[in-house]
Amino acid sequence: MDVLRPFRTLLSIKHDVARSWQAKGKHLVGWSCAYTPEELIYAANSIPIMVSGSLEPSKHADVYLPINTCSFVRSCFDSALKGDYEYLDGLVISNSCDNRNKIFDLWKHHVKIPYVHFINTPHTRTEGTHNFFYDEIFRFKTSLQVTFGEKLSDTTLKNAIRIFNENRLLLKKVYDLRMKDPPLISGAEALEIVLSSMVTSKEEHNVLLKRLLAGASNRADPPKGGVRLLVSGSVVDNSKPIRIIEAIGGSVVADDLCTGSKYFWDLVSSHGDPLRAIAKRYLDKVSSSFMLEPGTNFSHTIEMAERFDVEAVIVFALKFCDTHMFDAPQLVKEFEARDLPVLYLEWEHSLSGSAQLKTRIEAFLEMVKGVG
Amino acid sequence: MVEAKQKRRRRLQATKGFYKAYIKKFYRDAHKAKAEGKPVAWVASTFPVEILQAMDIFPVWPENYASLCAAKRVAVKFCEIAESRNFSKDLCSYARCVIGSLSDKENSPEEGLPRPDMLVASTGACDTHFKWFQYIGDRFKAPLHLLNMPYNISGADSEHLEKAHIEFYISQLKELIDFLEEKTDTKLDKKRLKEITALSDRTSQLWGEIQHYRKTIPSPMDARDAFSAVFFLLSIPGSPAAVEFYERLRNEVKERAENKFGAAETENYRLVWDNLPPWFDLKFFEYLNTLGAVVVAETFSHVWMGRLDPSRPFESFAKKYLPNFANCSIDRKIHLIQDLAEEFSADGVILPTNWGCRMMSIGETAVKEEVYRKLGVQSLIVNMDSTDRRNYDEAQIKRNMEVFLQVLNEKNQNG
Amino acid sequence: MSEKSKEFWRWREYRHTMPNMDWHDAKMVTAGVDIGSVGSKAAVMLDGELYTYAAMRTGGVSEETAVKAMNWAIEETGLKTEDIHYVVGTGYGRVNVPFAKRTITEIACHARGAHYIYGPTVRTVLDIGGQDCKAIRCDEKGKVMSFLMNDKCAAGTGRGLEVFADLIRTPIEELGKTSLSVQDEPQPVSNTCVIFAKAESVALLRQGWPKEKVSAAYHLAMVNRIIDLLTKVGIEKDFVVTGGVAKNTGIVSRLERNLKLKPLEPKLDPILAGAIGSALFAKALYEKEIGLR
Repeated sequence: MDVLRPFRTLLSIKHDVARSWQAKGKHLVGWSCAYTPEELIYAANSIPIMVSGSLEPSKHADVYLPINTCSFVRSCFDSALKGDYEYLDGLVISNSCDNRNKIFDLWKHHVKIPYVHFINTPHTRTEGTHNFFYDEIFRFKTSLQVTFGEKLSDTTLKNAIRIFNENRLLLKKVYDLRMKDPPLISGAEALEIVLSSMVTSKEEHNVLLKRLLAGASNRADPPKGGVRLLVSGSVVDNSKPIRIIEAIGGSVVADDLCTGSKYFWDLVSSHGDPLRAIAKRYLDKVSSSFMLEPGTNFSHTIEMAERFDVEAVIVFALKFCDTHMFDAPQLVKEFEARDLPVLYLEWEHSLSGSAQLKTRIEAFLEMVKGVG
Repeated sequence: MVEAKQKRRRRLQATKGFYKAYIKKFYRDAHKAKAEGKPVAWVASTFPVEILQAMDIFPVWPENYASLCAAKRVAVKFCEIAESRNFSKDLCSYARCVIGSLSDKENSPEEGLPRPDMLVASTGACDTHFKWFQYIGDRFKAPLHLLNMPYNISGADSEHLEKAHIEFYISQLKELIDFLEEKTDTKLDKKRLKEITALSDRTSQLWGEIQHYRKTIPSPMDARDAFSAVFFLLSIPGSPAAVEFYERLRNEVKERAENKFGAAETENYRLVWDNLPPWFDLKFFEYLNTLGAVVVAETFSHVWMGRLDPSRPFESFAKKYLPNFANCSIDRKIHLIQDLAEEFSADGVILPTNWGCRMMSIGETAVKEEVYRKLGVQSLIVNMDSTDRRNYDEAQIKRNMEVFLQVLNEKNQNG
Repeated sequence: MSEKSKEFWRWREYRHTMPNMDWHDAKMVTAGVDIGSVGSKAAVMLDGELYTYAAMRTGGVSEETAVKAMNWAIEETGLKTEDIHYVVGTGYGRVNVPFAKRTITEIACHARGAHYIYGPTVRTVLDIGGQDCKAIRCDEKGKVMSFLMNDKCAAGTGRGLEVFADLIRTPIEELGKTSLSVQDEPQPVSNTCVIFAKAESVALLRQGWPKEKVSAAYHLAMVNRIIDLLTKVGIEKDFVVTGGVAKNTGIVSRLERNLKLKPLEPKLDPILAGAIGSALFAKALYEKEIGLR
C-alpha cells in the first residue's frame, strides 16, 4: 500500500475534505499566516484551513489588483473570488505583510464571509510585545467562543496542544527521513505532507503520519536522489516548483519555508497556562522574515542546511514578497561565506516563464555536480 | 492657444529657491551635527520624530534623500547598483536608491547621507521601512529600533481608536525612549519634549490652514509647491524653522486666496492626487497647469498632520500616527479621498501607484470605485514609480492624462 | 521583393564543412544541436575537432528544425545520422532534439564551446541569445563557476534586435554599423522591455531623430543592461562574446568602450559556441559510455 498517496490525495481534494468536516459538524476557519494560533481554532470545535492559491492565472483577482503584488496572495484572493472558499465559516488574518493586510481588505470588500478576525502580530519580541500578543490571543479566544458558541476551556486547549504537538513531532520525524542519502522521501513529497496537514484535522493527519513512518523504509519506489538542496523562501503552497527541481537532478532535502519547516519546528509548552503557552510559542517561533531580529534571522536556515547536509542552496524569492526579498541578498552572502553554492531565483506563483526557471536550475545543478 | 497658457509659472514666493534655502541647508546641518559628534538617527516616516528632536538626536530621513536623488537624476544609477547586489528591482525604489548611493559617494548629492549612529522605524507605513533599515543597520553595525504599531484594521480615526491600541503604542514609545536613552546616554527631558510637541502642533496647525486655503477657487497653491513645502512637516516638525516657514507660506497663500489669485492661470479641472509624485519630474504639475488642471489636494499633505496636546505628548502621538492611512484598512483611504474630493471641490482624482510599494498600489481600484459611487467623481489610476524613472512611461501617462481630462470636460459640459 | 515587404530582420542561414578533414578517419564522431529561440545550430566534431556545421532559423516545430539543421550540417559529407556516435541537445529547445542521448543546458555548453573557440584563458563568457542573455564565469577547463541570466522580457536580446531592424528598416547584419555612424552617443532609450523599447524608439523617430541616432540609443540601452549583468556576475578577463549578437559591432565595440576591456577575437563563428560545447560534452559522454573514461 502506498503510504504517501493519502497526502497527495488530501491536497487534490482539499475543498471536499473541508466540506466533509463541515458535514460532521465542524466549523471551518481559514487562515493565511503561520502566526495564526490554530490550536484555538481547533479547540473551538473547528478545523483550521490554510487558504492557498492555484496554478491557474488569477484573472478574477487581476481586475482588482495591480501587477506589482504578491502572486501568492493574489492567487488566494482569486480562489476566493471564484467561490472556492465559499464554505468558510470564518477567516483569521494576521498582521504579517503589506500584501496580506491590503489584499484581505479587498477580500472582505468583495467576498462575503460570516466572520473575520484580525490578530495584531507584533514584529519584535520584548516583554511589552509578549503581553500585547497574549491579549490579542485572549481576544481571539473570546471572539471564537462568542461566534461559534463553543467553550474553550483549559482542558480543550490542552487537548489541542497535545494533538498539534504530536503532529509537529511526527512531521519532524518525517523530515528526518531526508537525512539519508538518497533521502527516503522526496522534497515534493515532504512539502505535500506538511501542506496536507493544513487542510484537514490534525488528529486524522497524525494517523496518516504514523502509517507513513512505519512504512517509509520499505517503499517500492524510493526517490533516486541527486544534488542535496535546501530551498529557502517564504511561501510555497504547492509542490510543483519542487517537482520541477527534482525532475532535473535536484534532491530537495531541507527548507526554511513558512509552509515547510518553519510551520512545525517549534512546540507549544505543555506546562502552565495553555493560553500563555500558545501565545509564547507563536511569537517566539522560528522567525518569519517579517520579524525583526537583526543579524540572527537566518539561524534556522543555516541550521537546516547543516542538519540535512546540503550541497547547495536555491533562494526561491517569490516576486513582490518584500520581507523575504530584502533578506535574500543577505542570505546569499551567508551561504557564500560557508562555501555553499547558491542560486538566487525570482519566481511567480503561477510559474510563468518556467522554461527559463528550469534552465537556470538545471545549469546550476550542472555547475554543482559537473556535467557527464 | 496652448502657447498662451504656457506662460511663466505662478510659483509662490515662499517656496522659491526651496532646495537651496532649506534642503541643502538641512543636509549641511546633518553633516555638521555628525562632525560635531552629535548622534544621528535615520528615521522612516510614520514615526514620532518629535522625540528624537527633544533628545537632540539629528533625524535624517532617507526617503527624502531618495526623492532628492530622483530629482537630481541619479536615482536610477543608484537603483542599478543595489540591483547588482541582488536587491530585486521590484523592491521599493526609495530603498534601492539609498542602498545604491552608499556605494557611490562621488555621485551622491549633498555628500550623501551621514552615517547613522542608530536607526528607528515603525511598522506603521510598510514592511519595507524596517527591512530596508535592517540591512542598513547591519551594514553600518548600527542598532535598529522598531516601534510596533498595531494595525488599525477598523480604520478608526483619532477619536475612535481602540484603547488597547493607544496603550500598546504608548508602551512602545517607552521602549523606544529606553533605547534612545541607552544609546545616547542622556535622559529624555520631559519639559523639552513638551516644547517640541507644542512646536510640532503649531506646525501641523499652520499646515492645516495652508491646506484650508487651497479649497478656494481658484486654488492659491499647487502640488509642486506642496510636495516641496511638506518637507518640514515630515522631517523636522518640532522646530522653529518649520513654524517660521509655514507662517510665511500661510500668509502668502491666504493673501492669494483672498485676492482669488490662482496657482495656475486657468483652472478648469481641480484634482486630488494620491500617494507620491514622480520626484524626477515635478514639472509634471506645470504640464497639468498647461492643460488647465490644478492639483488642489494631495493625500500626502493630509496624512502627516495631527494636532498634539503638549501636556500629553505620548497619547497625542498615538492619535496622530495610528490613524495614518498606511496603517489602516483601505476603508480609511477611501474615506479620506472622498472627503478631500468633496471639501476641495475636485473634478477628478489621480491615483498613481508606485511599482515597489504594495501599500500604495493595492486598493486603488476600490478607491476609484467608491469615490465614484459616493460622489460621481472619476479617478484615473496611473501606473508609475516615484523614484525609478525606468518604471515611468511618460508618453503614455501624459496621453492617459489628456484623455482623462477630456472625459472630465465632457462631464462638466453635460452636467 | 518590394521594399515594403522586405524582411530586414532575416539573417542569412549558412553551412560549412572544414576542408581537408575526413570523417572516415575519425574514432569518435559526436554532434551537438543547439536549438535556440531564434537560431538553431548543429555541429559535428571528429575526435573533438570541428568538422561541419550549419546555422539556421528556428521554425515553428523544434523537432523539425533539429532534424533540418543536422541534415544540412552533414549534407554532402556522406555522413548519416546513424554514423554519429553521440549527440547532445542544448538550448531552449534541447528536449526536442530527437536523436540526442542527453541534454545539457546552453550555459554549460557555451562555456565549454567558448573554451574551444577562444582557448583556455577565457574567464567570462557573454552569450547574447535570441530571448535572453547570460553572463558566465568559467575556469581554465571551460567549467562553469557561476552564471546569471537576465529577464525574459529584456530588450537586450537577439529577438529585440530583429524587431528593431524591422522598425528602422535596416538589414540586421548592418544594424550595429549603422548605430556607430553617429558622432556623439545619445541618451539611451530608458525602457528595457522589447515592446516598450520599440514604442520609445518609434517616438524618437517621430521626433525626427535620424535612424542612426535612434539605433545608437537602442544599442546603448542594450549595452547598459548587459554591463549590469556582467558587473553582477563579476567580469574577469579574458572576456568573450558568443551567440549571434557577437557579430553586431554596435554592441561589441560599445561593450569594449564602456567596459574598457577588449573581447577576444573569435577564431571560429561565435554563434556555434553552444553547438560546439554540446558536441564536446557528447564526446566526453561517449568516452564514458564505452569505458574510455
